[in-house]
Amino acid sequence: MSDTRLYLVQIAGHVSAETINASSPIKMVVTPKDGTTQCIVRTDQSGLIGLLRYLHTRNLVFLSISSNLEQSGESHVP
Amino acid sequence: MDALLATKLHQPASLTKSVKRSQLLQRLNAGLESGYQIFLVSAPAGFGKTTCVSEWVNTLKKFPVTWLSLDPADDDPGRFFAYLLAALQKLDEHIGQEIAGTLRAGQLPPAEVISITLINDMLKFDREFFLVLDDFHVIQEVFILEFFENLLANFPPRFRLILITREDPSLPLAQLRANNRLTEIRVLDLRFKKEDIERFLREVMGVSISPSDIGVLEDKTEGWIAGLQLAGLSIRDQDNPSDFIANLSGSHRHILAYLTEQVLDRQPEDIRAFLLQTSILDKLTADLCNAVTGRVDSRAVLERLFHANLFLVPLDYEGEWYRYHHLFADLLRSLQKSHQAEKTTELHRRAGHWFAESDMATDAIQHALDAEDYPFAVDLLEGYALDMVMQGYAKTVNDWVKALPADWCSQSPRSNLALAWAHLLRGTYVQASPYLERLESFFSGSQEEEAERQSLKTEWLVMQSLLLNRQGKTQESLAMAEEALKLVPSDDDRVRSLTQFCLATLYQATGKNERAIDAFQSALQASRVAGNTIVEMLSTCGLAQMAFEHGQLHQAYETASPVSAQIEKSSSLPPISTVIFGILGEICYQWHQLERARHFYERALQLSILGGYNSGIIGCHTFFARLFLLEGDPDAAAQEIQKSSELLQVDTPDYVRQETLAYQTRVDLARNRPAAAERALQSEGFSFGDQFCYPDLPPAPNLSYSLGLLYNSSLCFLLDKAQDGRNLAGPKNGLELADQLLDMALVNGLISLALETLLLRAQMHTVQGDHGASQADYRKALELAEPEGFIAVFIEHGQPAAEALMEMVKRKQLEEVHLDYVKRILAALSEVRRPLRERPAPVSSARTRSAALIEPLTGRELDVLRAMSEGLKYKEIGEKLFISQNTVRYHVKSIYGKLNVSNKTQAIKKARGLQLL
Amino acid sequence: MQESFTYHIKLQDAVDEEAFNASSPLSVKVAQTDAETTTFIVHTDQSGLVGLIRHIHHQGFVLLSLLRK
Repeated sequence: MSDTRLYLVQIAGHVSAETINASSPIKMVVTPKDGTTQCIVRTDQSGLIGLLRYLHTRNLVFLSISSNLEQSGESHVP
Repeated sequence: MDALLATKLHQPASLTKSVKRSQLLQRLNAGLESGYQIFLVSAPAGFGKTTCVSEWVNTLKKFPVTWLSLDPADDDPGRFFAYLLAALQKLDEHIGQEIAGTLRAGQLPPAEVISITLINDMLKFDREFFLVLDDFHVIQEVFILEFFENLLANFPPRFRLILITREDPSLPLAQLRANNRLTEIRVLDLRFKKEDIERFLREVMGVSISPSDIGVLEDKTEGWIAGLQLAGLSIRDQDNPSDFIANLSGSHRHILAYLTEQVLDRQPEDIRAFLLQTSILDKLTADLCNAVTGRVDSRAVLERLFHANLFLVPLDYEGEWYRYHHLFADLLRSLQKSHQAEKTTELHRRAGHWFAESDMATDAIQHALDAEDYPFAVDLLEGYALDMVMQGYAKTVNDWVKALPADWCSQSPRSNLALAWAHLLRGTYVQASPYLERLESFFSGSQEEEAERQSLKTEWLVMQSLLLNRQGKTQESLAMAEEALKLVPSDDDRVRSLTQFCLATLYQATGKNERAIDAFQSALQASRVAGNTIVEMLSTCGLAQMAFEHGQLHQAYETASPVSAQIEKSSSLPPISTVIFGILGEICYQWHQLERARHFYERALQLSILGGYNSGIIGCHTFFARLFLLEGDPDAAAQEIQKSSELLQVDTPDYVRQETLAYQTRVDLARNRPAAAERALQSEGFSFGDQFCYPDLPPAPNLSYSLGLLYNSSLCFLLDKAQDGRNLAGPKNGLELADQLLDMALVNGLISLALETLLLRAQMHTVQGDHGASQADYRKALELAEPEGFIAVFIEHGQPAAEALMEMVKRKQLEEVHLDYVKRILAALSEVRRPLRERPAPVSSARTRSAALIEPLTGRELDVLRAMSEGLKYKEIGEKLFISQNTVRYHVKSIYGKLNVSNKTQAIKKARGLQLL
Repeated sequence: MQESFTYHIKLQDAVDEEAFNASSPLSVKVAQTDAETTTFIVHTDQSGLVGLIRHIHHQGFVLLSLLRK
């Protein structure tokens, strides 16, 4: 759990990078995709949890979270 | 400081045997030397975060450091800020004193006010100082996080904040990283490398294993220190450590569970039992452990566990209080629960009783709830809930009530009562209803003693009465309060004082003045017997307010003055403080002691802001508007009344709204903006077409001071029109209103209001050429005003009043007895810089002149500029305007840019040239 | 945000359902497990989900993925 990973967090609807990164605990790469917003961030699990709390308190809805260590072939990354 | 608070403020001692983390200390020091202000140590449990920071701050000998260990119960703003201030006050007892006083009165200032006040206090430090917040992940409350967001945005230059957390806080850390203000230590930094593991096992745990085993251990534990410590404890007695290490597998959780059981198995039976039984405790002391386990030697056991490295963390320097490492405690608890669930309940019960006997209510109630011993929990809540709510711990009490099964909730009427009070006092009336309904159901099936039941029912009726009054149902409210008075048990002075106070305010609102005074006095007497200082202050304040409204300025001053002294001496600042200072300010204003008036209102404003008391803030700005009008500065008055208007909300009480509107109208007239004044009055039902029409006056007893002011403002508007020659019929129509208003004000004893109406009527008579009637009104006003020394009301009416009085003096039309008094009024009138009717047209206001710049100055920048021109320093400007020194600097920079100057002298010179000052 | 959904949460490692539920803020159901990973199913709103993820983290488990169905 100590590794730094690349996480992809998918959020419902379109949200701009400025809005998301305005007071975020970690800066994310934000891109819109098919009516959702994809946020990519490199961090450890402590950073990810803080980020999820931040998104949640701003009423953003998570659709999926996946990490780059997902090797099973059934990755949730769209 | 109580023993448990001391444990929260205790910096964990560095272990005598530990592996020095030189690289981590170097990184932290490098951050410090680079001027980084925030240090984030973020990693899961068991990676040695606290040890690392404790070791570091021990090296910072030349800097003051304060430490606060948080636990889940601290995620309650009232509690969190009380502890935070206690931690900061270890550095300087003056930090946050005002906030602490407000918290002690059960009030929670807005997050922004807390941050601004603390930032201002922290600016006084002349060297770096450190605050460590351990286990910051327990903080989830948006209110507390907002405070930190404000703090980060205006960070005091010498402040260093260290956050130790298992997850990144929901704060704008990305910006801090980008701005090079954040030093981070994360899990990858904290994990032990091979050489650390070797040293740790050898030096700390006394275990020596092969380098290859160390490599395997590193892989299996990922350098996780808690796992290594448990592994070390297990390996000590292993014949074949290599096999043992090779068999470790799975996640940290698995390894922890496995190793914990291994460690426990190696303990003697009685120690194993002790560890499991005491795992239910968040903090341990020998006496408590004896009570929970039934042993008598817990002190020796605790010392033995500590020296055996069994995850016991000391919480003080005296060796009295300890806690288990969180991870270890978690595991022990789940083992205890899975092996001996039924006994766990009994352990919690014993702990609850020990804490109750030690008067530590919070822990006692929590253990009672954990024991599911609801009768005991309810019993404790009945005893403590009201006091805790009054101290501002409403969220904590609410969480406890929520944790009770539904059937038991109604069994704790005092908790429901306390929570209903919490909402009533905070003005969230709707949210009080469920608790009041639960209380009502309690009365129907109550088995309580008669006196107890009566006492509760009385208090419930008082709260219902307050709610009805809030809904505008004054008569129903009054009937309910009168019913409550009949029920008050003879020996319950606390409830009697509440009931009498409630009645007094209702009598006051319905114009039953004598009854109101009697009720306030009864409330005062009962509150003193009961030791209820809040009701004592409220009642004194009510008496002072009534005396003031009835023109008894000296009596009002004598009543309010000792209370203000008492407030300043006490460590508690209840919201009523603002009203006391407001009354004193108003009296000084009427006596034309303007600097004293300003001083009292500045204090009232400060306390209103601290208490988040919106009506108080509005009232203070409205007062400053009046003060500026009196001093002949209508533009400054406009800025103040604008602040009041912006703060008006849907639920702002009528009297506040009426008063604001009344003075908004006068400010508009003073600025030669009659159309704006007319629109404001039209919105209240006045019309000024061919004929002056006004809303029906209420029955005489219902005429309040604020409503009277609004009617008087309509008369001001009529006079303004007439004096501009726009409508000479105005005063004639207005006279009818003035006559009625005057009669009603005199009947109700509203002397301040009657005085103003008389002076307005006198001017109307003058406009109509009836000088005899005018002089009669002036004479009557003087007779009414002289005994209590009213002066300002004459100044407010400026030139017309001055001319009339001078004329009457010249013609010797005033009795000798009035002459000195009249001379004082005339002297005060001559001090006014510019008579109201002779002010320059508003186009030349500072704000409008500012628009002549390429980029005009904002209202706030003008405030700062004025303060600079008065010779105030940044710190003083910040204090005056309730902004941080950094914000002042920001405004100053902007002012220089807009004025195209580079220093203060140039700025003031240029501003004067542009007539901005 | 207030609505409940079914979430699939994949953790690293084999996790025992009963042991996990003993201290979890939400009761989860194991949908699939092997030596390397475990997938939970939980039906909750987003607040419940955030609480559960924090719990997973504090318990020392590694979150691999999450999917709202």
